[in-house]
Amino acid sequence: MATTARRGELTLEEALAKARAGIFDDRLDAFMPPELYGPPTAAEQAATARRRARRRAAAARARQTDGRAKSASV
Amino acid sequence: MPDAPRARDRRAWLLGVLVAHGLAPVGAQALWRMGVALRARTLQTKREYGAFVDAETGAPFGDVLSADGDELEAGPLLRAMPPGRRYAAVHTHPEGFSFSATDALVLVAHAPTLRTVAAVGGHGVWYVLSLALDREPPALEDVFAAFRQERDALAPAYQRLMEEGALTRRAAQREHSHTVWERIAPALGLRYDRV
Repeated sequence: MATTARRGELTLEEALAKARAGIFDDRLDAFMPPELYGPPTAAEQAATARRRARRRAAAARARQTDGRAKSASV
Repeated sequence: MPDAPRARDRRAWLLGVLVAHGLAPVGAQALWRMGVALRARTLQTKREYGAFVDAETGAPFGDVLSADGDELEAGPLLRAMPPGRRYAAVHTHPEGFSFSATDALVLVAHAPTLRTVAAVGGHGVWYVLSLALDREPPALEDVFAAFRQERDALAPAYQRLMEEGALTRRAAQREHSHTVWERIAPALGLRYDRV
């Protein structure tokens, strides 16, 4: 019997083939897909925005440091 | 599941659980020692490791396996196991989740030579799964279907907990994976414990 699966999930046939081959497949997306819990919550979106802001700030600092180093070497 | 004992009794509790899952006391000790060692390696490297021991004698069987990503290839060792012996597997789950569907399917597909499968989470929690001694092994298809159905049925409750801020997505996945096995194991003729 063919089975349908969410994106990244194993079908029955794939899971049985892995089990018979002795493969412990612990890919989280293959057995507990994040879509099970719906779209990102407000708290998750806020955390993502904070991470992006931190990355942007770090990249800006790196560019500034790089620029100063180049002018000093000229 | 019995009430959680104090931390200093946890090892004795776990060893008792492993014996209830079909390991001889010496096999339980060996599996515990192996699990502790593998968890230490996982904490250092963030990788997943696994190993087998003889359930009766505690002797290690084969080398320690290291995962390719999140997949642990144990086929060559499973195929090399002599019939008539019983073995227990332990592997690490760096993120601390309970068993994947394929973890249980490997157990059922390779029973009775593979007697017990244990997973040690990065946070130190142990999960143990075995075939109940007095039951016929379930069909692989039934294990897969039961896991998928119970997982989907429970998902809205964990989504609500996440939306209320009671659980992070990771914590929801961790608890959800445990609750699925707690609920489906008895009907499938499997014994399941979290220690």
